[in-house]
Amino acid sequence: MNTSRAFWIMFGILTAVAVHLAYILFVPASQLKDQTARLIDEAGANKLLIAERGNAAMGFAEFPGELVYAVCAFDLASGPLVMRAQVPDQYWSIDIYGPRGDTVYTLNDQQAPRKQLSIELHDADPDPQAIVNAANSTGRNMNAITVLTGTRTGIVVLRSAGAGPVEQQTAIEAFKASACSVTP
Amino acid sequence: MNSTARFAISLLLGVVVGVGSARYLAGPGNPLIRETHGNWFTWPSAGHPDSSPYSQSKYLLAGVLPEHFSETVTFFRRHDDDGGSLSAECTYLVSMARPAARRWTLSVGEQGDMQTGVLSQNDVIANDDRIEIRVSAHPQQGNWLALNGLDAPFLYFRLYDAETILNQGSDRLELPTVKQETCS
Repeated sequence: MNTSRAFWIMFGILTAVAVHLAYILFVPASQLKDQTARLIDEAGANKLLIAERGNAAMGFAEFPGELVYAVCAFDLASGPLVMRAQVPDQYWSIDIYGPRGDTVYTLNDQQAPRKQLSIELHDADPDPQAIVNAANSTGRNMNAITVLTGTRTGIVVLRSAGAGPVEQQTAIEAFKASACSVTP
Repeated sequence: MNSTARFAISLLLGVVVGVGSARYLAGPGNPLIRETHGNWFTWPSAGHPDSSPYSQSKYLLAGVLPEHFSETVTFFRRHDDDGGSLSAECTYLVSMARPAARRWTLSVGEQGDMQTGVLSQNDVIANDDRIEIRVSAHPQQGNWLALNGLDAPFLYFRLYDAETILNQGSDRLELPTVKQETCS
């Protein structure tokens, strides 16, 4: 093999390795970013959208035949996100994901401390006085679960059993009684 | 062949191999992220904080966010117990011991597409601890899971409260058998 041919083979191999790594590291995250942008376009940031056929929230649903989904894309730039959730008497879970799809926090109906709960998302350790002020303000729940996301943006996904009409109706009622909002 | 042509060919081959290998390793066929239980497969690292970039990519490229690994475990298969590909023209008998899971579902669908039929434990009648379900495009007596309009059906078996199950050891888990009965 002459030197020139060896050079071009090595060049091809290195290109393949570089493209492979770039694809794995950037393309999936970019796809999630685009999908999140579509959700924000449709529902707005910090708003909960129940997944229905054809809407942007449905794009996140892995098993829409057996679970009902509701999705909220959050941006904590203007303050912590308060997720008010109603937990139905059936399988239910909440997962908080970072912008690259990594799970930050998870809770299911059996772990939930009560049927109606608040989860506050902060991107960094909040000032203790801010928590006291928030708890003293009207409509805030002192017993809210505080989650430090470590990231300003991400996605909250609610899932509930939905394999039949009864489960689906229960899930939708619970999701309609739930909300995402930013509290500056 | 001059240097420009060699550069172009090496670059093109590098890009094709790089993207192709990345898509394969981030796909459902990757044996590095797939675990085998007889004819059933599962992705044990799905929704795991320590999951590899390939495992994470598999979901993000499909546009979905996996549930946390402690919540659910999904088994899937494309073949019956004799190794034949599942077909909408055949009737299959799915037999299993009543799963110890808090909730379980059996569903059919095509890979990367929505499920067309789902049965949960609430839909199934069983006289003892064994459950038998017929999977067919035609209505069946007893427990029936409809298998309609699918060219290459997959069978999915999902268990909820997966952490408890997996702590017992997934090798001790009795997964459903799938026997072909008749074909039209």
